[in-house]
Amino acid sequence: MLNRFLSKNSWIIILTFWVAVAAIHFALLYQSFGVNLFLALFDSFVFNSIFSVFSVGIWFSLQFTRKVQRNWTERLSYFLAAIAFILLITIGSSILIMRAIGSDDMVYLAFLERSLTMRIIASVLIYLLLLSAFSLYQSINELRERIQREASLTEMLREAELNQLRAQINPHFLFNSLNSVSSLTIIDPSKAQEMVIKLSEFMRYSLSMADESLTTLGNELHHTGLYLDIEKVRFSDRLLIEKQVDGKCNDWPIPAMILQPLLENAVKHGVYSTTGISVVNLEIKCDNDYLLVGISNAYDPDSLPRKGTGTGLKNVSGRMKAIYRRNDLFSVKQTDHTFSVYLRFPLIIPS
Amino acid sequence: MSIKVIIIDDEPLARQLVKNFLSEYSDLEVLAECGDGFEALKAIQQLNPDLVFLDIQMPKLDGFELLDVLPSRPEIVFTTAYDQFAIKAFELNAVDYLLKPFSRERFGEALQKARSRVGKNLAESALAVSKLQNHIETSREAIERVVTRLGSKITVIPVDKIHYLEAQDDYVMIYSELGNHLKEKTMRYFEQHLPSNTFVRIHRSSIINISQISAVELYTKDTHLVSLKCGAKLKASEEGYKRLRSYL
Repeated sequence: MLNRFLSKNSWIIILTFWVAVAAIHFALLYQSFGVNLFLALFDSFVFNSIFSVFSVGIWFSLQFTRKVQRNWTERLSYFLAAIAFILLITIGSSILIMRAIGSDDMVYLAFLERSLTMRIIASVLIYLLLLSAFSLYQSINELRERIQREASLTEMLREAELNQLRAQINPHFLFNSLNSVSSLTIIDPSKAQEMVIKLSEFMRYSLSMADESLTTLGNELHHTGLYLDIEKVRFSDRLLIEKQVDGKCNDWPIPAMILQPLLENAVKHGVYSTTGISVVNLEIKCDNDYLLVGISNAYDPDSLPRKGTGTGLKNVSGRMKAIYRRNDLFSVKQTDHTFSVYLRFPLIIPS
Repeated sequence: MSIKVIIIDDEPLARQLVKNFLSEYSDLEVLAECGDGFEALKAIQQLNPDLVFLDIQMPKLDGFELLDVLPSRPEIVFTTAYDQFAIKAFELNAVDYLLKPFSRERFGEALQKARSRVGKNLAESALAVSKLQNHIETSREAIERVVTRLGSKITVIPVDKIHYLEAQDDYVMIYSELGNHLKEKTMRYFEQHLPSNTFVRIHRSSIINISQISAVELYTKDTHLVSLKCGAKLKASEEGYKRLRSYL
């Protein structure tokens, strides 16, 4: 705060202010009251330099009262005490000094006596002027700081959100897949090898993708395809995937790892809510403005939502909001026996 | 004497692996493989195995729910990918807890432990059942569904479909959209485990789902009569009415 107050510009403004005050002071004394040049200069210099030094106290008193957050009456009495103190010091000491300097000039000494009231009034006015200027400056500073803090907070929040939303591989999926591999090494080693390779490629993709990194629909589909292949090995004929993908949308830019959590959610809900076959449906098409993705799965309304589900959906919806800065791109539809998620990807991604 | 085994897992390859590991041992006999909790329940009741390899996360009825409705329990070895259930499993006096993927050696150790317990622990398994009961009574986790068994018929009742519960001797009768089902549990258990934002104990012998209330009227000086949408009318004690009022 102090540093900011003492910035170069502030010094120039303060100096200009006091030079102006001193000039008016001198002019009044010299022109209107007929004080001789030498004494008028000295009077103006002594009086204003002492005042200017003590006026720094106004700034600190402002800071102090703001910090301790006193109530209005306390603040007011504090300022009154401060003004009385500053005036006493300034006027008292400058009169003493000027008496010594102008001790030969009887006319000036008489003027010094007479001008006391005027000096007090002028000083109070200058004090009030400074006080309001300082508090205005302080308010502007605080406002500026608050705006800055809020801006950085929002940015931090966004980053934290994205970090939290980082698409993560579900450990349950990973360990169960490794268990399937372990089983395959005995009964079908070449299939085990194939699964390890698919798992590795899928994991490499999900690990290498930063939160906001973009990829094409085609690339994302290739890697989610690896994921689905692995799930199909785990659940064998209990899982059926139906895909309807318009090939012309393959180059559409989308955030990486945005479809996988949704497919995982659909697989989990489907497979855990029925002992029979569960079908997961993936439909993708595009027009001039949007890429449309629909993912749906049949579910059993009687079977309850499993714990921990819903976070996948929340993550994806949060990422869509954070990346595209819109909240109308993600929607969920639930009918008696189907659960569907719809995504719309605009062509342009805000930087 | 051979040890009779049932393998329960919803993933075929996981079952295959256990079967493969078991094939080394000549004194073990695999009676059945089951892909879900219902199938498993039927198989255990019919085939009466000595040892069960049990996955926890399964469709419809999970491993813990399955154990809860079993009238008599074989020795259990849990096989799961998650370590978060380990403590609960040991509280249930399981033989062992295998984390997927597990090695042949680790599997052998579990089998060794099981072998030492099978056939000579009637007293111990009685203890196990009481421990199970105890565990379920004391854990304060809210339940999402209640599994009941009548003979071989299993009903899974989601808690939001329950209208009300009434004490009947050592049992609790659950009145729900799916009908009336007896469960061998205490009122205290249900009072603690049903979601406290929808269920209120209005009387020593009854707990109601507050979303089912259609009317509440004064009955005698101290008691109120609560009418439910399903037509039932239940008395609320002075204390019970106070609890109910604080919710409404």
